[in-house]
Amino acid sequence: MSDDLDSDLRELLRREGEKPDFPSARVERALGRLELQLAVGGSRVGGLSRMARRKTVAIAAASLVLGGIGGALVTRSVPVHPPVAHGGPSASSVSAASPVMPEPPVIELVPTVSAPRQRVARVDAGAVPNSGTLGRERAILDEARSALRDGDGPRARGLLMRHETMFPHGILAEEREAIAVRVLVACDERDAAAVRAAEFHQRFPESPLAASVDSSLREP
Amino acid sequence: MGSAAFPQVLGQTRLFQPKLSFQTLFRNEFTYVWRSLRRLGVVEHDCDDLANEVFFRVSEKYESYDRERPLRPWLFAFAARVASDYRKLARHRRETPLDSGHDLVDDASDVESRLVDREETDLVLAAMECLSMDKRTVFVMHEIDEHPIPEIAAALGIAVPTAYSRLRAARLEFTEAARRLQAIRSRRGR
Repeated sequence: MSDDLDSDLRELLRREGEKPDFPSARVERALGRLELQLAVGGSRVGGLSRMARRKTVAIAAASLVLGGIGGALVTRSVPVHPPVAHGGPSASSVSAASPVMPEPPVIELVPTVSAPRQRVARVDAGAVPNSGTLGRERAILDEARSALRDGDGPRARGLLMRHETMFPHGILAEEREAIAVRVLVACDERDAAAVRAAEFHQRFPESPLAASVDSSLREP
Repeated sequence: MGSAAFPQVLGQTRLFQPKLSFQTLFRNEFTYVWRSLRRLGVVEHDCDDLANEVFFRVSEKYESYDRERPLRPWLFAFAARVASDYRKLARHRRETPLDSGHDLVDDASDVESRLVDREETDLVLAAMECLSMDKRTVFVMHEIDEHPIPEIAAALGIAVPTAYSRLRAARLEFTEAARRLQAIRSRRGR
């Protein structure tokens, strides 16, 4: 093929393709940064300027370090986007679709949210005393995910309850709630899962995990 | 990718095939996404931010990812969109690996001249700067990542003949650019 590459150029390209992976510490730092961004700017961060996102992450990081000062909430100072449309059930649609709730949910990982609230990145200073908290939260949720993958629903449930107890308003509460829906589905408690999903949408109307929550309900 | 079937949940057998957790996906593919962005013309000091952006977008779509499809072309398509948006901004075009620190000019020979002036310019990245984004995307996916053209076409949402056509043109342009750069370096004793 006359438009093919010469062997020397092909060799250069091959070498480019064989560049090594980054050290795991660097990858972990990047992952921690993304998780922080997801937790703090839980809405469509992708639509924000990088400067705004950097500011958001910086504010969150500062709040982690200085947690406890004034017990104040740290609120995202970035443009507010309209809520993302969800295909999943709302609280009312759950009621309509399931006029007769067969049983109350077996587990209650978080208190019921009685009214929708604006999605603001909220870092409860009392619940986030230091920068190691995020790592601890993440470790518990990682373990819960792992248990879920292994088919150990009860263990996953226990870990989520532990997270709920230790970090009721933790940075990763949103992620915990998304996982809780999956756990309920995995445990075949679909009605409870639907209720929990509706609560999730109420509580986190702009969550990037919303699609994940909805798709959990569609799992076979 | 997918692991063994979800075994037993409260006594019931599940057929659900769990896919990688998002975190595992991130750990496995961060370097790939980062390097892909670099190959698509993102300057090094912006690659972390843009890789973050790619994974943010991926996180929104990951649940709908069809695990029957190859993962990397799917990820690459996100990287290509992010890199394309990035390069549409003039301030980023001025910072491409080829002309960092200089004003953007249209004269190709001037661009080449500035490229070879940089001691550490990587020939592959430099020569790829002469490709349009469309051609560059197909070129990187095929010549560096070694994805078959049908996979590339599917990931990018283009027709297979279009992908082949872009690849052919990209090869020619890349070769010409690389040879010119090599000749200039050679004349300058590099």
